[in-house]
Amino acid sequence: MTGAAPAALTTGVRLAVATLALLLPAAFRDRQRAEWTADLMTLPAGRWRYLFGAARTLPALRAAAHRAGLSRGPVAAAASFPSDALARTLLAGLGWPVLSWLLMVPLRYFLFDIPGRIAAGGGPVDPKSLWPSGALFVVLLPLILALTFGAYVALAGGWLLAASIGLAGAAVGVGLRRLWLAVAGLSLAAAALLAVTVAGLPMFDADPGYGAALLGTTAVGLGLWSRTLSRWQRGWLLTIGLAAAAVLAAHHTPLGAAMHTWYLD
Amino acid sequence: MAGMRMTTPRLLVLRALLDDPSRERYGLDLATEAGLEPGTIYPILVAFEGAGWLSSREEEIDVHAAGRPRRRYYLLTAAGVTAARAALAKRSAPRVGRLAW
Repeated sequence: MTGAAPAALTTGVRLAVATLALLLPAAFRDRQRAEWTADLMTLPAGRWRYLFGAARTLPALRAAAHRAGLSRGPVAAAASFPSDALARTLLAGLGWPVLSWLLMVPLRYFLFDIPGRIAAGGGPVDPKSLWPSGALFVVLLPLILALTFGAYVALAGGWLLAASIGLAGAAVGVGLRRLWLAVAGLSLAAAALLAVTVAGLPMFDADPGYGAALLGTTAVGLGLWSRTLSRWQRGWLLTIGLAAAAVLAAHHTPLGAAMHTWYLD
Repeated sequence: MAGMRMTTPRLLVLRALLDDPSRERYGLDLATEAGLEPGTIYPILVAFEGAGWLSSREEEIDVHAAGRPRRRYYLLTAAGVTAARAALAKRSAPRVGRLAW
């Protein structure tokens, strides 16, 4: 019975195996899924009976895996410092500008029908006029400032984006107690800010989205291929990477140019 | 692991393993030999492995050629052989009942 040639599993059986595997500790999941799948593929009959037995003993399997220390992955425990630090730096340093840009520029542009308003009014629509007024404005002021500056950083790219990455790296270095990373991050931020203030290098128009796209590609690569990051981190890296690609696209399309003109004017 | 609770399925697995302690077995194979319901053996194997009674390794195959994922092979360790024999001996020993007057 067990030496039978492997046969493909039906979608239902595969879904059941996937569901059972999801209920196991992440570090143990792949191992057990492979065992179940190999068994089921060589079982000529009684697959649902097998799955019922596996489901019935799942709590015992979870408990045994925990007790045996198999629920703690050998790599996950080390949390691979380079990819973890890079992920955190990108999530903060790139995530803040590109998500701010997404919320402040394209989202509001379409949500408030800016093209329609401009056409109807015959003149520009002040982006600031879209915020609430009175007490709510005061309450939301920190958020408004964070989003406004973040959107400017994404639009400017180049030096400001480098400064954002540097500051994020410094914060990550402090958080992870890596002095060298904190110093390197601060140095990068200081150099980038000095470049646009003291040296007088152009703050805007120097980088039409290429810096964001490069960092976004890194974020997507990390999100897709890193095995040591959590599912949440990988999901956010992919989201931010795609948002960074949108920044690049906006810099090079007529629609993007219209949005940016509205926002910056 | 002296405190491991010995249930009937666990003893059945130990007995199957002791039939040929030097032979590696995979889960379904062992479940069949032990007479267990298929799919229910893994908590036992993982518990034995955690106790150091079993060692395990992944099968070395080309998964594309084999058409299925790699199995995991289990083998009794020296400590496992001793513990398994002790557990089975304890279970088969006649129980000392209360004296009936």
